[in-house]
Parts: sequence; structure tokens; C-alpha cells
Amino acid sequence: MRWIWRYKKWLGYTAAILLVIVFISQAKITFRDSEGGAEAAGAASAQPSGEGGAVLPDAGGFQLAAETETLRLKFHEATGHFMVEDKRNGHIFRSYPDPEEWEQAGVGGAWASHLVSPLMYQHIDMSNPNANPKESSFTRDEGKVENVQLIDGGVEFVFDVPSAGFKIPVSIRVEDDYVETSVQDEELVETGKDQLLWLRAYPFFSAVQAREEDGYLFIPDGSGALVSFQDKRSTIKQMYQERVYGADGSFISSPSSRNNVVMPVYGMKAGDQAFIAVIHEGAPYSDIIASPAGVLSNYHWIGTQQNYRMRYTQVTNESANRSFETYTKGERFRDDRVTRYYLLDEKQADYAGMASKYREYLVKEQELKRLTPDHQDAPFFLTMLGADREKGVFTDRYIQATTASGAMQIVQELYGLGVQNIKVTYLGWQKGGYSALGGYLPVDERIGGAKGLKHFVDYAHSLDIPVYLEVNYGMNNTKVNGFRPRHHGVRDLSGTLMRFSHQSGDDITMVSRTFMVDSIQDDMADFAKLGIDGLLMEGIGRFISTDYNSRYGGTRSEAAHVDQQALQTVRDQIGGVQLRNPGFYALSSVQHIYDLVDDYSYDLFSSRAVPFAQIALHGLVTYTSTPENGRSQYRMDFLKDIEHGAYPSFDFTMTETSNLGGVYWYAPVSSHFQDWKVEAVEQYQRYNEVFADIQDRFIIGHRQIKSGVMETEYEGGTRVIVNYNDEAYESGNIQVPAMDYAVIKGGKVNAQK
Amino acid sequence: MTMWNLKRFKLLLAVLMLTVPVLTHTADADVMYNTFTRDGFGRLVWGTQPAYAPAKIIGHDLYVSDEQNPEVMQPSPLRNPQDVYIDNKDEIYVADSGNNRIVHFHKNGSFKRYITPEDSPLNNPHSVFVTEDGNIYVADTGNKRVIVMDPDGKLLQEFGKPDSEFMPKDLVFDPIKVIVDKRGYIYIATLGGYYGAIQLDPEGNFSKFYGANKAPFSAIDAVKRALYTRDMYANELNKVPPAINNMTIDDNGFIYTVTSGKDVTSEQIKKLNFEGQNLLAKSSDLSSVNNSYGEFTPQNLRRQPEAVPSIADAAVDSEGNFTVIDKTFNNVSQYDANGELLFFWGGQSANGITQLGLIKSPVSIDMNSQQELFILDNQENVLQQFRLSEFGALVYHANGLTMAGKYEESEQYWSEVLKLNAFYTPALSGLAKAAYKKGDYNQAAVYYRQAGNEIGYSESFWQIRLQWMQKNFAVFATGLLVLIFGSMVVRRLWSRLLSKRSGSKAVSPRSRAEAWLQHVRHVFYLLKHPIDGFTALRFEGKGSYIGAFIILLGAYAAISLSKLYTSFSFNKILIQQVNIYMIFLQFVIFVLAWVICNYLISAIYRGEGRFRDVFIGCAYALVPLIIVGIPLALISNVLTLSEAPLYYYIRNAMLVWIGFLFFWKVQSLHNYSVGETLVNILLTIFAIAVMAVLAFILVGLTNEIRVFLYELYQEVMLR
Repeated sequence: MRWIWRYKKWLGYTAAILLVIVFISQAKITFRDSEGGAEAAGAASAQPSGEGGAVLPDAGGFQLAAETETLRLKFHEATGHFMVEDKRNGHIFRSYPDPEEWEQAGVGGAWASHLVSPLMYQHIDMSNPNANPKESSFTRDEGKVENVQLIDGGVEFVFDVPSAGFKIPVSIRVEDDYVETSVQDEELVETGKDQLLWLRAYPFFSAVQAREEDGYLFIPDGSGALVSFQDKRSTIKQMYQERVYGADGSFISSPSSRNNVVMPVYGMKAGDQAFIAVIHEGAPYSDIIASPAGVLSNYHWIGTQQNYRMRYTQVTNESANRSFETYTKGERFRDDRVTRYYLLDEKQADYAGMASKYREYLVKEQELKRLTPDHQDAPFFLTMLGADREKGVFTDRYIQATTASGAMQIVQELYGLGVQNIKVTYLGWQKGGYSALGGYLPVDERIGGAKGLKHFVDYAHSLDIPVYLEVNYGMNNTKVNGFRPRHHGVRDLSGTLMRFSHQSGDDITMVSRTFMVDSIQDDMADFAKLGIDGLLMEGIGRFISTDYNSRYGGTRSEAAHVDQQALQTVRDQIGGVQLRNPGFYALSSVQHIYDLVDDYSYDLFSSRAVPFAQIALHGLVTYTSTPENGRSQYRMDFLKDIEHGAYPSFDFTMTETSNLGGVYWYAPVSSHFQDWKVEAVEQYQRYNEVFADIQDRFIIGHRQIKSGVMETEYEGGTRVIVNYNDEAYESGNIQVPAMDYAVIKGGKVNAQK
Repeated sequence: MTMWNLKRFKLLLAVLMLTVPVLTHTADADVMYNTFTRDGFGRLVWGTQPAYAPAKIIGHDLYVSDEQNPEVMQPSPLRNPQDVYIDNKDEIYVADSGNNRIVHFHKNGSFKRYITPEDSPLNNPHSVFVTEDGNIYVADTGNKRVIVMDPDGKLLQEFGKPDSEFMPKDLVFDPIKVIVDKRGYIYIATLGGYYGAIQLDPEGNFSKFYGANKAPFSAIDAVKRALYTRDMYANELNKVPPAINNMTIDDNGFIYTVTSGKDVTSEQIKKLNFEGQNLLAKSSDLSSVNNSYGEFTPQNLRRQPEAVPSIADAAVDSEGNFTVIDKTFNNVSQYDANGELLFFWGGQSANGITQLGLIKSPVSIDMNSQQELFILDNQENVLQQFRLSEFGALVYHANGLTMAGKYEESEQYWSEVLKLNAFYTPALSGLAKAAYKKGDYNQAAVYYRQAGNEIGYSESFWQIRLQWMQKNFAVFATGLLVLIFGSMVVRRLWSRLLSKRSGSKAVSPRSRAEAWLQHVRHVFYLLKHPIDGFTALRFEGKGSYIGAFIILLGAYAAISLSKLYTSFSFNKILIQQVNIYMIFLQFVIFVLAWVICNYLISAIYRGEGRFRDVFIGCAYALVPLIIVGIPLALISNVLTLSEAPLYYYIRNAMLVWIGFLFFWKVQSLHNYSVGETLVNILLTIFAIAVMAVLAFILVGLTNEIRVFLYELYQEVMLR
């Protein structure tokens, strides 16, 4: 046996290698795959045909479930699918892909069964730390539809998926011109050890291939964008997926380079058949997904993904920066998930029609009202900075930008030059200037104090000019109002405070919603004493996150709700509210929106931006885009305002801009009033000519006449044509010079120069 | 994403301590990226209007007919493309390396044709160049050759590794870039070719190596060369010059070479004339030129710590302005013909998203006659086109006039630029030059100062001073005379007065305050007689802690004041950048380190000084900071850079004086010989270094222990 010892070294190696091989083959080594990757892999392995055992519901299996004056709802009991017939024009909207094109679906395997399924979901086994999320669908897991009951206006039932361990109660109702699907949270049960991560209910509602047809997906990207069916299919295959109202700071989201979604809506148009979907409940925990044809199948589809649990960073050692990522266990996000599909009549079947329908929704559900112009002229939105701080030799240096009397002088000069309908918002008036966040009263003595401010307000009122003050209760670095970061700051699930350090050396902490509302409440009486007309509320109406602060926190939906109440309070007690590019959930109490997004994210699949938000809002709420003296492109953005019905706004200071180069928080590149005075008035006059008599009119039409030429149509027949091209546009008796616009009022043509 | 309007808040400057994802991404309307520039103090000016706006994407819809079924068009996207070239008709050529073909696009970006020589297929072509007569040059890297095709794609000529006795044996001929000048000379950059670019004459014969870079040579190398034997040094020195990895040629025939690499932090771009001289290295008048290209923001650096820009390619317009792309940070930087920064911008699209204007991996850039930029992305495999924005066009127009010396003409355009962006430094410089030209020196000085240009400021101030002197010459001359005469009289009177009062002076101090005053007054004696003075400190009790503290306070004040009040010509600094707390900290650490270490060393090295003597002596030795430093700072305000030698002479003399005082201090306090003093000082410096290292380690370890204990506590409490 001695020869064995001679080779013992080799034997050892061999044994070790064998062991490793056995281990590898036995152990479940799993690779975490991003969701997109998993989906892409599914598509890649697909066979080029629409079978693979997947069958669409047979037309005969549908039975009438409910009927309204315009709609007829039919339900397919075996599959849980439904179809809606629009009685106005006979169009049929199905909850599954267009059956006529099913042969060319372009997928097989898993994705084929997903496509015919009413429900897709992702779940994970939380008991196994190495488990990966599993993506599947109702059809693929061979679930059953149970407990079907007719209810008022529709049907309710339960999707039972024993293999995954879920019972998901769903109801479908029709009312007026919409069909509503909802997933009630209360009866949703997870029976197995797997937990639900997300759910897509009827994701392929109205999915079409529409190879040659005129149509598009409408995505709420920025002000709205279209994903056209007609575009030659790009060789770059990408989808749109974004969280409604932006990322939730408490959870991990792959960093997005896109615009935030501010409106919980999406839509589709194929030929003269179109719908707009509004996420009625549960929007803060929803993603909007749009998949152009050619990405996962040959169908264009768009829908929502309802999130129930998300990934977050569990910090194990803060100072050594050690942490791991995991899913929220246990409690899911408990919101009912309700989506309404408004079916549009043929003459409304475009994005302007969708926006009009959304406007109706805002009026009906969020109680927005048509505004009544308070002046015959169009408004001029004027923000002025009081003061800010910069680093000084010993302590911070206080830089006066516009004192109360300076502000008075600016208003006086503008008024004297013929700008009468000014709306003033005063920033950085608080003690310590603009970079002092969180605590606001008293007014800093160095810009005039409460007395000086009151004097300014009284003066403005004598000219019928309202004065708003900007406040930001959403962040705090002053510890005023009893704010203690550790007690009152936003925390994620592992207890990490949401804060950042600023160049002033201050820690700025995000403030928990409930505490924020208390602070606002406390300050109300003092604001009322200043005689002001309202507040520009920064840090509210956006940046909502799930807050795990045990005393002051709440879910994202609760944060949205708190915002609404806070804004209502301010409106009731002071009179007015202005916001900066808010989520549309916050609109009920708002008079004016600053910085309303007016562009899209330039995704390759998007063919162009559309002013959906503007069409929905004009006549309900006033809005401005970027201030004119802070624009990227002066002429281009001016034309865009004219096209979008946005009013002019300016950021002014009495002091020269170069004095503000070192301040902590305020950052316009050009704000000196004397530099801009004349130009501001000239610009305003142009806006005024266009908008003075259509301040309360809704936009009823918007279209691209030809590439680079846009037409906006208002109630009462006023049309605005904007030409972004380098050559003049001519059609009949309408002439629009290059990079210019024309206004047609009652058939009369006024070319502007 | 216009989540948080960049134009309104300086949130980007905030250091995000912890992830606050909702706040991190911001961009302008119209474009998806942020545009920046720098002010004359090197600070980032952000929120600048975009210079370029994205126009469209080219090359995402390429198709080829299926081999089996010619009617069916199969998508055939670009694959790892390496080079874009715009010819003089503005038509676009892309070296589609991964697909072994050249793609030719129309002027408007629509597909025109694929170019491959039929009988001799390309293999991984890395570069394409088209001459004025339409001949197409391709660096066919995989086949180790450069080929010339006629406009129809017929192979005319091909060049392999030149056959020449001057061609080094170890040169591997992997051509990655080819350009041709107006004379028909061909320049070929090869992969890793540190000899420079291979220059061929129009017939294809080897002419010379062109534009080779210098091998990096550091201080350590110099030490090695001095100490090592010849063989050792040769072994040590495997350093070769960095290779040229890209080239471009402008309308005037200047060749721009691009060099990148981990060690290449300057002269990444060279503008070479036909002799191979770098014209960018010369500094222009009235401005200092920075030879380092490729800009980045602190945010870039936070994401990729210690990374350096790696320039991939450059494009030059007809006026010599050039634009470079950086593969490390994915930024695009634009410079004018003097190498002064005009703009830079950048931004990255998230994974799985392709957005117009955002580039994931830039490899090549070119510009057409409309000044439109084309940037090739070899990760997204598309070509992006950018159009000059309104602001960009204005800046280019104004800068063109300034470069041509038409300062007055440029003024109105620069004023317009400055109105749109009060922090745009090239506008400040342009206006400063215009004001100087017009003779408005006061205005010029103001602009130069804002632009952070100390040379221009000093020139303007020279003129202002000259004018003032001319205007006030009579007063000045009289004043000078009176001063000289007066001082003579006063001095005479003074000495008479002193001689009368002498004798009644030296009394013992009555009160403590008077004692301190005495101690401070001892300074003047000490400065005149340093050795006696320091000895008196030690042995005659002439100093006290209080007196020393007063002097140290004065020295600290002097340092701070000279930071704050020295003329801009000699002290290019923003008042916000002066951190007097930091100065205080440094000062205290310096004094303590010296005093402690010197005392400890002397204690074991036969020194006689006590701790108090070392401390007090140190304070007294710093006195020149006060009596020279402060007046010098004040005087600098009437000096210009022409008198810089005088300024620096006085300043250095002060430092030398302090050095000598320290020397004498050690010598007298400890009663040393000169040799002992030297050894003591060297040991003290060594001790300081050791102490610094110890302090560093101690702090680190203590922190570890603190963290450990804290974790332990948490573990106990929370479990």
C-alpha cells in the first residue's frame, strides 16, 4: 500500500476537486437577476409563434355582466377576462391581446401564457435567504376563478392560485364611460410561505400589434410622451417602467435618469379607438409599464404594476458602511388598487381627448374648479429673493438680495411699465435667509422685519397684487419648531435617517410628514397676521416616501393624504397655495404651479413630448415653466410656453447676480432686476396678447400639423400655431414665420412678430 | 429630470451623506444632462445653460437583407463601432468594427450605404477617413493594414507595416487611426505605438515618426538615475512614452493627437504643426493656460474615486475650438483654440434606458460644418447628434471675435452672455479684454478680478497706477520731498529727546501689565541682538507666557490678515475660500508640535532650556511675521506683477529671517554649539514626523475601538 502514500498529494487534490464538483452540482447556487433581465431572457427564448399551449378566451364564453348608457361589460368566467363594448361606436375593448393578430404574437413558452393571463405577479420565499423572486402568471400557474358574484355595475370574484398560495379578490365594474378594475386588499390572502412582491392586473388590456395603424402608447413621462406605433422599429429594445410620483426614498430603486411621473395616468390609441387609464387608488405604490412591440412580444401593451413589497438596504454597521439588501418582510403595502379605464369616443380619440377626460376626472374626483380670472390681463409670476447666506470670515455672511422695500420698488416699477396683474412670491425672507429651512417666523429684521414685510404686502394689496411667501417645511436645518432630527426625521425600515450635509456644514434632515403638519399648523396664525395671500409650499406635494419613524411616520399613501390635508389647511386659513411641479394628487387646494414639467425624457422609443399635463390643467390652475431668466434656450422655451399655455415667470433680485455666487441655497444664473426689466415687460406683453382673454378656457385640441409646427386649440375657437422650424410655415391664409407663432381668434389671423 | 429645479437650488452641491435617492437627479429642461463651466478660481459653475442640445440618434435603424430570403430585412445594429468621420460634404461615415464594415450616412443621418471592399473584406476596422476628393482611407486593424478605396468603395491601395530600415523591429503594426493631410501625407496611429504616429509620404513610403510623447519622468526617477548604476537604472526603467491613441486634423492642417492613460494627466491633447511642435503648450497673453484636459465634477469623482479622465477623441471646428470626450466620466468638454475651457457637460442614462443626449461609452467624436457634434457610443451602439444651442451659439460668436482680437466688437455679445449667466467666466474675460482695449482700466480690473485672472488684473492695475501717478505727479513729488526732509528733522529731534530722557528709563516693572509690556518690548531688543536676546529670555527672565501668547496671537493675526488683504495680483483667492479656523488649527498644531518635540529632543540632548523657554522662544522667533508680513500685505496693494521680484524678495527674506531666529533660538536657549544646534533641529523635525505618524495611528485605532465597543453595546442592548 505504500504506493498510495506516494500519490497521496494527488489523491488529496482529486478528492478535493471531486468534493467541489459534487457540492456545486448539489447546492442551489442562484444568481440574482434583475427583473428586466429575467424578462428579456424570457423573450429571447421565445419561439416565433403564438401557441405553446396558450389560448385566448373564446368569444362565446363571455356573458353580459352589467350595462350603462354607453358601455356593456361582458365577463368570461373560466379565465377571469372581460370585454367592454362601447355602444357609441361599437368598439370593443378586451382585457387580453387582440385575438386577430394572435398568430403573430411572436412569443412562446412562458411569455405566451403570460400574454393570455389576466394576472401577472412576482413572489418570493422569504424563509429562504437565498431565494430569488419568481415571476409568473395566473394562467401559467393554472389558477382558478372562484366565487363569481354579480354586484352593482359589474362582477366580483377571486383569483385562486393554489400553487403560489394566493387568493386575490378582484372586482370589475362599469359606470358612465369607464370600466374599473380593483384589487381589494382586505381579502387578499397569502396562504403559502411565498409572499407577493408585485401584481399586474390585466396588463394586456387592449394590447394590439397595429403594425401599420395610426396609434401610440401615451406614457406620463414628464409632461407626457407618445410611443408611436408607426416609428420604424428600433433595434434597441427597451421598456418604460417608472414609479408614480417618483422614487420612494426608503427603498432601493434602480436610479432612473428619467423625469418623475407626476400624473397617475396612461393611455393608448389604436386607429380611432382609444382609452385613458387613471390609477384611482393605490397610485403611490404603482409603477407604470409600457412595452413597445418587439420588446417582449409583438404586442404594444401598457399597464400598471402594483407593488406590495420592495427592496431596501438593511444597515448592519453604519460607521463601517456595512449593509445588505433585502425585501420588506411581513406587512405588505395595504392599499386597494383601483384602476379606471375611460373609453374615449371616436372624435376624442387622441392624447388631447385623453387629457380632456383626465381634466373631467380632476374636476369630479379631486374637486378642481374652473378658475375665474381676477384680472383682464394675463398674470405675471414674480418671485423675489429676500436674502441668503454665504461663508464669511468668522461666521456666515448674510447677503441681502431684495429687502421688503426693494421688493416694493420692483413691483412699483413693473406696475408703472404696464404689468398690472403681478403675482408676487417672496423667498428667503425668514430669519437667516433662504438656506435656513424648517422654521420660518419671525421675518428677518435685516430685510425689514415683520413691519417692513407688512408694509410691502399692504402696498401690493393697494394695487390688487397678491403676495405669497415661500416656505419649505419638508427639510430642516434650523431645529426651529422643536425639530429634533432623531425624533422627527424620515427614517427607512432599518432606521436610517434621511438627511444630507450641505456646503454650509449643516445637516439637512427630511421631516416626517405628521411633524411637518404640526409645524405648519403652529405657524398659521402668525402668517395670517402678516396679511399675506398664501404660501408657496416647497417640500410638500412631492418627495413622498414610506416613513418608518415610529411616531410621525406612515405609508406613502398616508404621506400623500397628509399633504392634501395640510394644503387644505393652508388654503382655508391663509387663502392660497402654490407648489413646484407637484404630484397631481396634491392639486385640490392649489392656485398655481411653478416649474411645471414641460418636456419628456428623450427615451429612444418615445417619438415626442406632448403637453398632456398642460392640456388637463389650463383653465383649472395657472402654471409656469422654468423662469424666463433661467431658461436653457431663450427663444425655444418661450415658444414652448406659448404652445403650452404657460404664463411668464421671473426670478428677480435687487442686487446684482454676481453678489450671489457664493450663497448656499439660491442659484439662478441671472436674477438682477435692472438687467431684465425692459425685456421682462416686452415678453410679458406678448404673453398677454395671446393669453389675456383665454385665461379660463380649457384646451380642447392639440396636434402636430407637421414636424415642428404645433397647434393648440382653446374653447371658443382660439387657436395658437407655433412654428419651431427654421423656415416659415404657410397654409391657406395662415403664415407663421420661422421660430415664431400665430394666434387665430374667431377666424381672424394675427401674425406675431 | 426636473425633480428639483437645478436653476433654483444648489442641491447638487450638497454632499449626500446617506442616500436620499429622491433628491439626487436633476437636469435642465430641453436636455437631460447638466452643463458646467469653471470660474477663474477653479470652482465649478453649474447650472450653466446648455451649449449643445441633443438633436437625434443616428444608426439605430440599420437593416440588411436576409441571406436566405433577400426580401426580408433583418435588423443589423452597429456593433462596437470605433470611429465616426464627417467629410467635407457633411456626410457621415462610421467604422462599424464589430460588423467589419464602414457605414455611410447622408447628411441628415439617414442610411446611405455599407462600404466593404468586395474582394478583400475588412476585419475589425477601427478608423475611417475621407479625403476631399472622396477617397476613403480605412485602418483595417484586424488585417494589420491601411487601405485606400475610391469613392465607390473599390480598393486602390493598401499599406502594411512600412518597409524601412528606420522601422523598429519591435513595432507591432496594429493601425487604429488613420488621417491624411492636405499634402497627401498619411498619419497612422498604431495600438501601443509609443514611437509616435507613422507618417507616410503620398506614395506610401515611410517618412518619419510624428508627434511622439515624452516618457514620464518623476522626481523619484531623478533620484534613481543619480544613485543607481547604469545597469540597475536600465533594469528599473521600463517606462515607455504613452502611445498616441487618436488623432484628428483641422482645416489649417494642424494635427491634434490624443493620449490617454492612467498616468497621463496633462497634455492629453496636443495641437501639432507639421514639424511636430505642440502649439497648445504656449500660453496666451494675459492668461495662464492649463494643459490638462477632460473636466469632471466632484459628483463624478465621488462615484469613481481617484479616477482620471481618459480622453478618447477630439473634434475641432474651423476656428480651432476643440471638443473632447472622456471615457472615464463620460463628459464632453469644450475648449477654445487657446485651450481655455468653455463648457463641459455629461450625464448618464440608467441601465436599460437609452436617452437622447446621454452617452454610456463615448469612443469617437466629430463635427460637421454647421458645428453640430456627432458622438459615437460603443455601448449603446448608436451615433448621437447634438446641435448648438442659442446660448452656445452666442458664446461661440463672441469668443470667435475675442480670439480674432476684435475686442470692441465682441463686447455687446459678451454683455448679452453675461446677462444670461452672470457667472460665465469666458464672458468676464472677454469683457475685461474689451474694457482694457478701450482704456477703461478700472472696469477691466473689476472684470479680471471676477474672472480670477491675476495677470490681467495686475496689468490693469499697472495702468491705473500709472494714470494716478501722472495725474498726481506734482502732489506726489512734493509729498516725497516733504517726507524725506521731515523725517530727517524728526529723527534729529527724536534722538535729542531720547538722549535727554535716557537714564530715567530702566526701572523694574511695577505692575504685572507693565511686566508683560516689558516682555513684548523685549522683542525689539531681541531682533537687533538675537543671540543675546534669546539668552536673556532663558537666563534673565525677560519673557513670560502671557507675553508669548500675545505675540503668537499677533503672528496668527498676521497670517490671516495677509491671506485676506494681500493684493489680488499676488493672492489669487476668493474671500470665501479663506478659512481662518483652519489657519488657526494649522498654526496651533505647528507651534505645539515644534515646542513639544524640540523640548523633548533637547531634554535628552544636553539642552539647557526649560519648556517655558522653548515655548516663549518660539513665539519670539515668529515676530517677523508681524513686523514684515503685515506691512508687506498692505504694500502689495500698490504693487503689480512687474514688481513681483521685489514682493517675493521681501517675503522670502522674512522667511529666511524667521529661519535664522529659530536657529539662534535653539542655540542660545540650550547653550549649543552650531553643530549641536543643527543636529538638534534635524532631530526635532524627525521627531515631529514620528509624532505625526503616531497620532495618525492612534486616532485610527481609537476609532476602531470606539466602533467595536459601540457595536458590542448595540448587540447587547438590541438583542
